[in-house]
Amino acid sequence: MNISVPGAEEASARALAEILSYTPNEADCALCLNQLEDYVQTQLRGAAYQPQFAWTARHLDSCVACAAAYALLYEVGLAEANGRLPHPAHSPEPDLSFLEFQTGWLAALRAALTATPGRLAMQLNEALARLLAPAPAPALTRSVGEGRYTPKLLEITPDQAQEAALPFTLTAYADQQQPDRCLVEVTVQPPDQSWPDLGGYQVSLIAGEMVVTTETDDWGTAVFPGILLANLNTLTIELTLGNRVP
Amino acid sequence: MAMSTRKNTDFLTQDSSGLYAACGSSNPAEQASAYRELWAYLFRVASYMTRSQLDGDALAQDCAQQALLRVHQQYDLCKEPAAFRAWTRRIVSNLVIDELRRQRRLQPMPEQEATLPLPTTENLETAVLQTLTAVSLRQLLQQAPISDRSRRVVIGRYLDDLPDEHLAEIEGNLANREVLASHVQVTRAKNIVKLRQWPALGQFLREAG
Repeated sequence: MNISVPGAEEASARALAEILSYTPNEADCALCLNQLEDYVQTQLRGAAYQPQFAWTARHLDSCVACAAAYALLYEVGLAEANGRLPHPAHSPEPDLSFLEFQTGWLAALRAALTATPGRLAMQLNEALARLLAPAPAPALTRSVGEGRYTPKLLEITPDQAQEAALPFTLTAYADQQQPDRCLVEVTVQPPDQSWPDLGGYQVSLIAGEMVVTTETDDWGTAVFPGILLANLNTLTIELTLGNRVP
Repeated sequence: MAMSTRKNTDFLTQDSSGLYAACGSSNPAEQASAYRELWAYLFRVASYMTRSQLDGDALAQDCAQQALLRVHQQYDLCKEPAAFRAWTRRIVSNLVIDELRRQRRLQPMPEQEATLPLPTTENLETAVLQTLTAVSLRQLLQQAPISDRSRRVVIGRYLDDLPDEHLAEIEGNLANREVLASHVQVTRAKNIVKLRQWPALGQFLREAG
């Protein structure tokens, strides 16, 4: 809207008329919310926040939801600046398991490894399995099998394998068609090797009384379906690196 | 009074750089202790922001926990240890706002102002309002179906060029209670929405335009 007004002193009237004719949209709200913290901090410092953030100020006058968000930020900032931010009567305990994971998994993983020339074994245990359990996330579905193998039950990611100098990654998936079973996938990747030269490594999985041995494909992957869930947390994985099958 | 002094002291002695260093400590006990301290702060901020929600305590706990995890994940992105607390507050407050917005609960707190019915345009002196000037707009707003307080915060901001802090002081004196700049802002936003729906104003703007 372009409204003509006589005289410079009428700029304020024009600004108000434009606000009254303007309808904010989602993109405007997103932009406003991105600027709100700086807007509030500038205001709390006593600076000229409305001229400095003119667009944001106009949007706040046009959008009740963003004005409410602003009020939340302003009031918490003001309360803290004045030393009046209340202490809640009840403060629950935080979940600091992410710290335990950060500091614990590497030591637990190293303790679970046994290396002999040409052979590497990893003996899972309850504590290590708990540390390797992935955090809940919205996209854990494995693409293979139309969602049969989901969600992930435990995982040694490529980043973790690299940090632990481990030449393989490990993932276990629940089996939706056999609720008492899972699928275990081991991907071997020794240093300086990559597809298609990762085939032929012998991988054994010891699950309770059962011992299954297979070889990796060209991508270094060995798959073990039908593993009893009850044995998952005590699995032993043995990797033969020295006697590679040609 | 003693409580107020203690809080002020807490605020002034909070060592942002120290907390930053402790959160990044390689000593697990020291790091956990720092995250507990940070948790108390984040929960305090989130609780204050959700105080008007029916499930405010649970919402604050969820947001503070998410913020704690995000601080840990993005720790390396904080480039100013002296501003670490402010950085974490920004994270938790954004999470609270995002959550309230996602649940379409981002509405202003209930105000004392009554909702006034929209009048018809029959009694308006529209003849004098056909040119957009500060005077004509002020005259029109004097007849608008909003409360006196609402009228003052709209006219005060736009036609009298007063900052919200000043308008809050005026309203506080009139109401004999504390009025914050944020109250002025929310009141103005709500009433600009009402004014948009007022037929007389639409007609005026069309004619003036």
